[in-house]
Amino acid sequence: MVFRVEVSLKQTIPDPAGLATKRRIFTDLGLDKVKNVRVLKGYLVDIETFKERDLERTIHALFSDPVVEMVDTGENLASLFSWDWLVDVSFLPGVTDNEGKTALWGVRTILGGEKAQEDRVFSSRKYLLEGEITEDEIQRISQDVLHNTLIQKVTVISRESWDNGRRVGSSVPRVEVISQPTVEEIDLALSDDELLALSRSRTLALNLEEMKAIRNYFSDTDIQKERLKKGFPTNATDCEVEVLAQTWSEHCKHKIFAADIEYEETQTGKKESIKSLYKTFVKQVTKDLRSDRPWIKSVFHDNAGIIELDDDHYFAMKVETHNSPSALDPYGGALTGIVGVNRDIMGVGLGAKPIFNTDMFCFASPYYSGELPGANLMHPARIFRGVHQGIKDGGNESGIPVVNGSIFFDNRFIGKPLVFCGTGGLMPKKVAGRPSHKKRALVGDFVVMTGGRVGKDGIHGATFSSEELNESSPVTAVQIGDAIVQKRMLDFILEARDLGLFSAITDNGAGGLSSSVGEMATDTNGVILNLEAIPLKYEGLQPWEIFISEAQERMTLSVPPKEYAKLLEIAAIHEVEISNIGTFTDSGYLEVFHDNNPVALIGMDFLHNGLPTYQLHAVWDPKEREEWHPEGDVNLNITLLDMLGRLNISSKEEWVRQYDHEVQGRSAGKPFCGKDMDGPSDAAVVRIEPTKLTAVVVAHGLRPVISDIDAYNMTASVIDEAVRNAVSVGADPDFMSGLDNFCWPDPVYHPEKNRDGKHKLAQLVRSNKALYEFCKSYGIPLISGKDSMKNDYGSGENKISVPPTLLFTLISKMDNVEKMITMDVKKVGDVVYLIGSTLDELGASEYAIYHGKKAAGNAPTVNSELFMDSYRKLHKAINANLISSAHDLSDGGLAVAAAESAFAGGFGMKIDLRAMPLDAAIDRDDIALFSESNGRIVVTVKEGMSEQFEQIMAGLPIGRLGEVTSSNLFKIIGLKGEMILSLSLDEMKTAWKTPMSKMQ
Amino acid sequence: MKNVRVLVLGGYGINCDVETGWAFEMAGADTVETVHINRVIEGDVSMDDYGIVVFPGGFSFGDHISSGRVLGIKIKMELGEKLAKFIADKKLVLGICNGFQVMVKMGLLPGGKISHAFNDQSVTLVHNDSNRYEDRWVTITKEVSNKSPFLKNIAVLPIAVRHGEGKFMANSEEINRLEKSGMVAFRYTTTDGNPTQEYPANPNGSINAIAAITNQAGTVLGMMPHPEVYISKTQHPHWTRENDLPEEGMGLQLFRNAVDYIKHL
Repeated sequence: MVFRVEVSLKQTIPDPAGLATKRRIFTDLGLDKVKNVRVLKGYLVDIETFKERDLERTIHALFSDPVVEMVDTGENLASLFSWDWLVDVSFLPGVTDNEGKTALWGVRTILGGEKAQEDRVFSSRKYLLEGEITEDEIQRISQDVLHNTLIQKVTVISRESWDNGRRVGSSVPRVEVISQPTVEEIDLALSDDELLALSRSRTLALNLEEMKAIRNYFSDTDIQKERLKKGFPTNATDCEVEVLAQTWSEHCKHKIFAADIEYEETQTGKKESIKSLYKTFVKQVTKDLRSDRPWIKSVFHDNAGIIELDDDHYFAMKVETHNSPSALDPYGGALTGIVGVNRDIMGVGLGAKPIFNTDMFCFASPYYSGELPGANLMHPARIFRGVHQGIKDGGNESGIPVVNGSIFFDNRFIGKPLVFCGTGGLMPKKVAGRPSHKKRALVGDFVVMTGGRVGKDGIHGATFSSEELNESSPVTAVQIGDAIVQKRMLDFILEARDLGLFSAITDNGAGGLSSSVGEMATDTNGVILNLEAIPLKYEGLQPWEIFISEAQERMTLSVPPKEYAKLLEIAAIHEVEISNIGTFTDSGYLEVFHDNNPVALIGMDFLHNGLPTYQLHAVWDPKEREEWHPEGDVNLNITLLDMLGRLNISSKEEWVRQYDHEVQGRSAGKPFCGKDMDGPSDAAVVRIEPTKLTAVVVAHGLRPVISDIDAYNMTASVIDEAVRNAVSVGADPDFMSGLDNFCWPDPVYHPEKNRDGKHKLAQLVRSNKALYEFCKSYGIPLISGKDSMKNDYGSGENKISVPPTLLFTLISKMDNVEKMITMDVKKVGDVVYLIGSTLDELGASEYAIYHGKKAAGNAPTVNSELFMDSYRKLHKAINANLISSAHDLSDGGLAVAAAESAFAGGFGMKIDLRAMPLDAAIDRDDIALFSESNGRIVVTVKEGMSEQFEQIMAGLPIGRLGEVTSSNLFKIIGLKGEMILSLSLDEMKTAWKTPMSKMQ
Repeated sequence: MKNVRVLVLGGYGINCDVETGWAFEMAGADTVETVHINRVIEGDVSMDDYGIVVFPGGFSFGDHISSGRVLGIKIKMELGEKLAKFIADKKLVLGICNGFQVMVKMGLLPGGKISHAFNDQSVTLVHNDSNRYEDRWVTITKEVSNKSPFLKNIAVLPIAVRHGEGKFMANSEEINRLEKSGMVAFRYTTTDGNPTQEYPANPNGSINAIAAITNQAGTVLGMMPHPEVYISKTQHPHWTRENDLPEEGMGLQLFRNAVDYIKHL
């Protein structure tokens, strides 16, 4: 029998969740008719042995809070409240229900007794809405605010029908799968068209060349002989085709970065053949820089890059993207993004402990008011909120602080948001006597799967993210994570690691077991797996589904047989499920069975090296660049307030405060600083231990719009932005490493679907050239990276593509954290200096966009030698204790950066533009104030230290602009010597804080 | 003087165990061990060997159903007796954030008399008025009427709060009882020590600005704010600004008090 339990706050107690829902309905839909909302919690208890009397024992102890809540074993609570519409939201069958799982665990703890595999508790919510709301409006509220049709089921009941006795009822969302496990044979003796049709119908995301390579493999007579000998059919099996599709997906194999590219520039006539962007540029720069950087320990072959930080620790970092899942289910997509990249760190070397997260998002404006370009697209405000919630829950529940990030808005992200999730981790240099950065699975080791159970969730995640989104994107690709299951697994893995119980470890990410085991098996050149040993969430999965499912919170260990008993014991303490699902071999094959039935047999060499190389064509034919200069008189007071209130400049504090940024106790440089703890820090500073002075510095650069002019300048700019952010807090410019995360629109030309593919590929080539050139000249080896290449929605004429985007994450360190400085001005009388020259570089700037321009004007450039010289000297000045604040100039240029420093510090400032190192041709104050030239930092030098500072900076373009004042005013003298701007700190701060808090 | 051994409980989503251990180490504890709750339940580790037991912060069971509820059920059922004896021995129990929620939901706080550690749940911690999780620094001030050994030489303390369910609530008689019996330990205050209901100084809307309480004997302390992340100067958000911040993190005193008390017990 199924029992329903419902819980509500007592009538006299205000309901914060209801108030928040009401606010959301207003901000998202503009509906102000909702007077009041109450939220009731519901649980359907579906446990074979559960009896009526058990209800009494659990409803008060477990489900409700006696101080503030009331509880009922039916649907009677709703009748106690005044409302006009009721919306009940529950999960669809098979969707991860974390609250339900916890409730089941609680019931079992209280009642004890038998634990049946089929036992379930399902959670739900009832929203009671009061107000004169029409039926259409309640449908919109339900659809656009209260639930996501991909994962949830909804029942809407009017008060009238409720009073006539209508109820939601107690039908449970069980997964009913009746199919028996079978292995389907696939005859690949097909025409080209039929091969392509097969790729499409199974969401394989493979092209004709790849399908042909698979066909040829299975028609090879030697292969066929071997298959027959081992009891396999000569035809391919469904599982084999699926495994190859996952392993060969763009997501896993980075085929575009590995492609042979013919690059040509139409204007110069220059032609160039590039064999793999990855090898030529990304890997090469690290190769070139590695010899005099012995601290680079492991790059490019593991889950994350590893560097040596101090005498005792290695540090690992990885940044991932989770764009496609976040478009369909923003909450689940972002949550699995962050816990997924945590697993990369847990699975690097012999396992590192995540110590911080970073996150950067690109969205369309949350205030977007136009038509949404696709039926299955969500409004950007909803995507923003869902993604934020996912990152918040994923980070906070795991106890991993989010320390650095940004949110960037451009309406081209309406079809696909970009969600970057990064994690840094620490490990001792040696674990159980072995160097922690190395691992190797051994022949005879057990293949041990640990963590969550396998269901249909996340099937085809890797292949679906390798295609553009469209209206029929698969629903099973959606997954919801459970941060607590993963936290338990992390505790377990660290304990097992320290006891030396496994030889190798990796995470199960895209492609699930097929990718993780497939990759680990290259250590030994073979593996044999028994799929029936894998614990399932519910019966009825097909063998191929079990093998490629991306169900969350799983990792794979390679465990010497003699250690397995001990491993089981530790797993039991942590209540982590582990299972021995096979053995690493040296057979040369990936061999998969299900109840002794043959499921897959693929040669290891073919699996990893059989993929044909793409042959691609890139053409750089830039449009004639439009010149743009601001004209006429400008009221700079109004302009600066407008600029401070632009989405990309405004404060994100309302949102960022909701992340725990201090758990684990390492935080020294927090996201916010200054008098009222709301100034925007340039970079995060994370101490290794509270008694050690060493700290990691993490910063990033992200400026997608510059790609509208040239992705080369975009790339140079983001690298410099990351460096100057890090240097501004005191990071050592001679200890830097970088991570490159490319998010590009599809750069593979197609005559109908992707006509400008050659141009986008040329942008990618130019970006890579800049990446190599500037990382090399700055001395930044790349230690890890990732690319996501199909960030488009729809195809052909109606396609919406994201601007070519590179997120550059920079890792540096400080040997003495006490030298750290923040961006807020500290003291009246301190002297304001600007480091770096200002050029006429308004192209793609916030000021240009404010004037309705984007690609017009000059894109910012990078003079790496000069910039690096000034960063090193600034570092020297910081270490000499001369500097009291430093703030990098980015969006909004000098005006915004200086204003932020002033209002964060709570002191006025008076600066004179005539002292700026300025391109002689600039004669307008607004260009000087808002140009976004790179390489610039505004600093305040302690009173009396100017001379020393100027000595250190001798020979560099610096300008003594003014000083910190005791007034409440921010004042600027213009190029003609007149006062051109005077604003109070309060009005500037208000303008800067308003936009992002309005949509809360 | 006694050897001071501290047992920091871990597992099930507790996540502030490491830094809480650091705080006790810095405060001079002789041994600090972070142990999975199940090892204590299984008897691999005995509470009797320790002077201080800590329920650290975190997200036990993901805060599902309500924060601290499910872990509270488990601990009360499987460790309740041992814990009651531990408290009867006048040893110290500290709960921070989620640990405080666990203690409140299982009736260990405000609790009964020292001989009877558990009571029915009489106070609670619910969703913040803002309905959201926030990480921010606030000021808390010690209630002078509370004579708990944890609170010696502490007055006004800048401190981080990091929670979504920290609003302290009880009916008015219970609030009265706590206040009259000197069981309120800290209140959210302005920087000069005045209790406040104003957001964000009172970050969650707690009744009478209550941020922490103890049992009647003062040996069991539960608090929403996180003293364990203010054990060094560089953890304070103003450390690059204010030259008059003490060199030592101000949260450390609370841990030192606990260590000193056990040393002399």
